Amino acid sequence: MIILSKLIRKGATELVELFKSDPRLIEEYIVSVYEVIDRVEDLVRSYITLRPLNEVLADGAKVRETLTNGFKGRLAGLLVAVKDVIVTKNLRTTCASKILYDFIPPYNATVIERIIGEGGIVVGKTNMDEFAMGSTTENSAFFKTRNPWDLDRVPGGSSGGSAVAVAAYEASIALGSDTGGSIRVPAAYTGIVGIKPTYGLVSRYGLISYGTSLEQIGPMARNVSDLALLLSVIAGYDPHDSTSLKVRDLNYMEFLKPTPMKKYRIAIIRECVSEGVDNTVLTAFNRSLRRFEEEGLEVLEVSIPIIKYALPAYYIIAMAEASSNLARYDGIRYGYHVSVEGRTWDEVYTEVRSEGFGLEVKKRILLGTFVLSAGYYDQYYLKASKIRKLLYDEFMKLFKEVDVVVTPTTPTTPPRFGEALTDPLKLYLLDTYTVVANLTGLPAISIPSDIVNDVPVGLQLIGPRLSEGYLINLAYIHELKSGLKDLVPTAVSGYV
Amino acid sequence: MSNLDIKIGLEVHTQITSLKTKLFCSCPSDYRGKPPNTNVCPVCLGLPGALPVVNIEAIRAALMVALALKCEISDVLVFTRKHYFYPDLPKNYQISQYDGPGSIPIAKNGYIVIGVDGGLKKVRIRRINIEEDPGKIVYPTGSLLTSKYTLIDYNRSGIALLEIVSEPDLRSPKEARAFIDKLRSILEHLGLVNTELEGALRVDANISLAGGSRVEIKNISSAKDVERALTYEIIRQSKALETGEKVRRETRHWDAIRKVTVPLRVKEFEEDYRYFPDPDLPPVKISLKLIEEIYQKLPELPDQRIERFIKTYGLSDYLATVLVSEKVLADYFEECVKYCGNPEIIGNIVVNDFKRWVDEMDIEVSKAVKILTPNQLCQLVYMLNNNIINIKILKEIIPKVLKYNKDVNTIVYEENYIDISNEEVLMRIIDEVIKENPKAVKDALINPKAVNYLVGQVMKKTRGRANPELTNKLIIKKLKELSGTP
Amino acid sequence: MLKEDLKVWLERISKLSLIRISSEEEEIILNDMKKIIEFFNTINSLDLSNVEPLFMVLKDEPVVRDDEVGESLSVDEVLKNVKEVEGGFIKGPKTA
Repeated sequence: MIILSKLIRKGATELVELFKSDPRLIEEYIVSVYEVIDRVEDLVRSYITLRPLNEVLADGAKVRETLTNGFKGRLAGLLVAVKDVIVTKNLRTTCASKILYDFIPPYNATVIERIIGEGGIVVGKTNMDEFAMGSTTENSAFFKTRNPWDLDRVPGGSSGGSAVAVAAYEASIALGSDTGGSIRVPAAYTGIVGIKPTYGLVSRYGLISYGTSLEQIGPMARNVSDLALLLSVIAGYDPHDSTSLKVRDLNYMEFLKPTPMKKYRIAIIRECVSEGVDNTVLTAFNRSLRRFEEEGLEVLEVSIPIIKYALPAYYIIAMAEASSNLARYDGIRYGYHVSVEGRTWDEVYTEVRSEGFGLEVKKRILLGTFVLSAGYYDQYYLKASKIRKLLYDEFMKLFKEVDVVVTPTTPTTPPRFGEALTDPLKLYLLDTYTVVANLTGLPAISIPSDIVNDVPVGLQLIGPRLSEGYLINLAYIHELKSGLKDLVPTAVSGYV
Repeated sequence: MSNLDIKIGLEVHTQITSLKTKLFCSCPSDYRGKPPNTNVCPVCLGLPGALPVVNIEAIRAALMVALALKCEISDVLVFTRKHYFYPDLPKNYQISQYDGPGSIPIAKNGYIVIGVDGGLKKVRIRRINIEEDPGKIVYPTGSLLTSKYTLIDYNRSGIALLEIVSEPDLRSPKEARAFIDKLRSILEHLGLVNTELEGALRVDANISLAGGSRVEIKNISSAKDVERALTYEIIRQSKALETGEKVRRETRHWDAIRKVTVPLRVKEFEEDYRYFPDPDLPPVKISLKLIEEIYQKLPELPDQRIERFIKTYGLSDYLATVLVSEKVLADYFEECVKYCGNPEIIGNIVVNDFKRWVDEMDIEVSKAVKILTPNQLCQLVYMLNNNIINIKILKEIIPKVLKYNKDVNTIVYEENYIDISNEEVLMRIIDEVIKENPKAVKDALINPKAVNYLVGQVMKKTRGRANPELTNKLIIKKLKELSGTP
Repeated sequence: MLKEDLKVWLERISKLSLIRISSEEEEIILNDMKKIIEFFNTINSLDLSNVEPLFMVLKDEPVVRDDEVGESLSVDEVLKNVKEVEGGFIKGPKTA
């Protein structure tokens, strides 16, 4: 048995400092991460496409050389796992769908350009629910990813592959995307941290769209410092995204302070801790609250009755946008293809789309088409958008009184395989607490709240617009007090 | 045709050719003549992950048109997705605009004034949309009906278009043509559209006759063809109505080669475009300040120019209107006048001769003005004013210049066009004519109007070179001598 | 609330989306659809006639672009993912 390098368990922030002082360590680190991948990938299956070791080593050598020449890249030498919904130039990007099984993008997403620009190395493309539609990563067209804490359970989704790649030490850090909880749910289920930034903070250019008005790319990491590091790199203005906010030069490392940088007033929402929550989740939640109270922070309870309509409103909007965003997949310009000669466009497109899309994707396209169709638009899409407005106003009002809202990230601990798929609504309910941040565009972070029966439970903190720094401050304090960082999941503990 | 109670509405799609780039990406807008699929990027190819960012100049252009067409302007610019599947549409939705919940066109409720049978008519504009152009489909057999597959070139995909929609206020094909001509002139005067570029102006026409249904004719690419297509439809529909046939509500395609409209494939379901505001493109505020700024910078528009031509150059309403109907023509006129004055003579020549021949020979005005340059035209005017040639000869020279691209002086001398004003020479010819036409002479002695025949005979003998006034005078003098009256 | 029979509805929506539902899928889909539409219908109890809709949460002015030419893709990059190419054109299905 090979003794793994000590580097493997180090945090990304620490690794970057080590590489700067000794660039030769990059090679050692890359090799050891590939060792881990060799050992655990068969168990957990995070990657759809893993780059060959020699290519990654070649990239590492280049970074090493630039470091030697005084380069100060903030991610120099780190291995970044990228959810397969983010396009990477000349590296297959599938969205975990048969319809894009062989798509080789001719361009990089803005976030990828930034990561490479800071010396980060893309190690591979991670598994997900097809087109990010799902909350368990069971809806991948290729295979299921397993939770490293319990291989019989789902890792959450849709960014399950990225969460597991990070949690199982198969990458330094990862990128996920979050349309209704797709970063936060798997982060909670795998004991890592993940943030859905303020809408517009991170460029969506190169993020394959599902629910355009809801989604953001965000970092996933084993500890809050690493998350702050990656967020600092990917956040900020991009002229290629009309919805990009005009903020620049962000440094979230400044918020890694052991004490509150502000006398935060924390709110819990009554409707999120009353019905349908597991007792284990609630116990962990209350323990986290006490940690904040011990810091002298005030916790109060508020009520937002409209919140119970957030979930149907979210799904109506997400599916409407999805039906439109996924219209372009017809097999003519890229992806799954059938021969065109002698056949009309509707025949060809119907065949490509019926064979190329999985069942969950088809369902959402059909429903999304429906809620936008003549005679139903006002009743569903328009009405859902009005609920969105009410919810938005409620949160704007609330954030005049409080600084942060906390909820459990999910109402339950990770389901076992198949459990959430028995009923479509069961699957949707996993997103109950997370969709609020997407509908309102507000930033929300999920951090480990506790480990109960060897399974992690997540805590969600939602803040006002562009309050990522304060969320990171609170998350960091919680991390220090709970000691819940750089966790080693039980199923892979023997291998890392 | 007016007794048929015709209602015509037009949808004009025009490319904003003054832009350097496409509507939502930085690919060049100059796509014509490039090899297929060499003028595209992830955005206009609709690649997964690519996002649109609107070209600010396209917004300014749309606002200019909105102001010129006296529209109400929206205070926000909202883009809307219009969904339909088609091989030339890379995202299978078109980014356009719409009037509905959450969506609004950039401008609505304007009008254009057109000249109709000597009077003026206000044609209402329903709305103006900014939208992206699809790619181009090439049919390998040349025909949509017989091709087993299509060839797609996305170079045009994403080009910025304005869709200008009129209310069904037009009552005849002639009015429709006048509307297009006027609109085209406005777009040219704004400096936004080079309407001579292939595909820069495309029209869909809606027409209904009393007792019939609305028929849409798609794919008409010139004002002339709009008139032709509508005339064809009126005949087709009125025949059908006369024989008691039903006119179906349908979409037809204008076949510019065979000059007929043909029905398009009937869809199984009614179109449901599922419009909704494009979440990739949040609304852009249109401030009063911006509108004001654009308004101040508006160039002279056709109506203002017509007025100025009447006032400054003493042109008739008719001449001024025809000149301004095409910006190049009006520019040409003004250049000539700047060069050699004589606005009335030049106005008449440009409208009645130059324009007439350009239309007849089917050459582009912009090319014709480079052949019969202002300098050349002014030389002709000089010769006319100095009796070197007469007006009849001038009218003969113009088509020759246009046809053979020759210098006017060369033509005048080579073809021996110099005016015959020498009385002796003319008298000799008149004597011949009088000898050869005794009956006509008899008539002319009784009826002074019959003199014209004799003048004509002199013209014939001199191939038009005889100075007509002088000839007339001399013949009358000769006739008087013959009749013996002093 | 559906204004038509669920099966008729599904056929209409599938034609609009160009997605065919196989006979094996149909039962699952119809069953799920029924549940999800009922779930959607829970919002019908609210009277929101006086509420303005919110389609996008961006508060800043959106990014716009100057009219400056940038780089296009090379033809190889454009055609790399295309399965049927003819003379630089992308081969597509019939339109009639």
